[in-house]
Amino acid sequence: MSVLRAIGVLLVLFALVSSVFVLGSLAADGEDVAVSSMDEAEDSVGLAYETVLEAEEAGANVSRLLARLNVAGDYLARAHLALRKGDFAGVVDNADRGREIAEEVEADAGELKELAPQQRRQNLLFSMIRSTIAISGIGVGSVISWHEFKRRYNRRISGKKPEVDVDGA
Amino acid sequence: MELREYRKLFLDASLILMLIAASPVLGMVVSIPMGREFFSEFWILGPNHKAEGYPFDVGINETQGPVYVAVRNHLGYSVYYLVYVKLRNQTQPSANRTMPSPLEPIYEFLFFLSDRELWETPFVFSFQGEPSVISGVSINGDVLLANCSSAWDPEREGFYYQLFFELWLYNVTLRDFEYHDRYVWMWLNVTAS
Repeated sequence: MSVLRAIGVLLVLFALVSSVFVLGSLAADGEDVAVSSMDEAEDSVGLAYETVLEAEEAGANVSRLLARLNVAGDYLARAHLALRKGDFAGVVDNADRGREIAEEVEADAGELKELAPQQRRQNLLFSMIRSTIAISGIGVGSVISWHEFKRRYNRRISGKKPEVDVDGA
Repeated sequence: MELREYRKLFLDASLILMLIAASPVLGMVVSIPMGREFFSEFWILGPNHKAEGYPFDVGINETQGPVYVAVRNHLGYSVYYLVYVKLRNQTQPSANRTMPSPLEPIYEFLFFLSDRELWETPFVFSFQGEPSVISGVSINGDVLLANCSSAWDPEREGFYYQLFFELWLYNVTLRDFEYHDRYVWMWLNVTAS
């Protein structure tokens, strides 16, 4: 009977000790997973920013990409906050959301970077066409205006002189 | 006026109009150095968006603010900024113009700004604990653990803490944030509520 009781006590003790270890290792795993998610998200946001900068240097308009990166930055800041509070599930959730947005932005920025020189050439061409048309219009308008002005000016000047009637009528 | 003078006037006016018409193309092809300085502005303003009325006497559990923390980018390109919020007593190391404080941040803001763009956020806070030992800080509704103690200052008669903000920016070469040599702060006299 005493042997059975001793075995029972041992079993209960074993269960308690093992549950402490299991919970401890689960918590450590949770923290590892959280920190790893956070690192991945930080890398993704950093890479997305680098690609956005390259697109900007290529002449692309990146304001929309920056607006989306700001959302990713918010998630990342929330993940850091969750880590300080020990809320590992919150860290993973926010870090993953931030990473997903950053990866989309990186892909879009890559496309914009490729398209930017072509877009720039196209914009330059359109601007040149518009300016050429405007300059030609101004040139033609100036010549016409000048001739009209000269005609009126001469008429006004000649109006001041006495006219000679050739037929003598 | 003589006709010759009118002709010169017409020619000048036409040339000016032509230059205006060509300016979009000239702007795309020719870049004119404007003697611009490249830097970041960093400031905090009081509750009325003025450099006055900053919180000073702060009771435990009393909500303070909002003060407004703001950054404007004048660096000529889009920048990834980080603002660390830190808390220290009178003897703990502060940030300076070249080095950040070694203290751990209690809060942070991450944001991206294009050239000349402004970022501003309201900052509402309160302290938990006792005037001599702050055990928690609430920032914009987030409650955070803190552990900062201050000794009684007999000269100024109070428990003094400094809440300060450091500006960092992302360096693409380092692939990490580096201190941007700018910080702003508020001295606070923490009292029992």
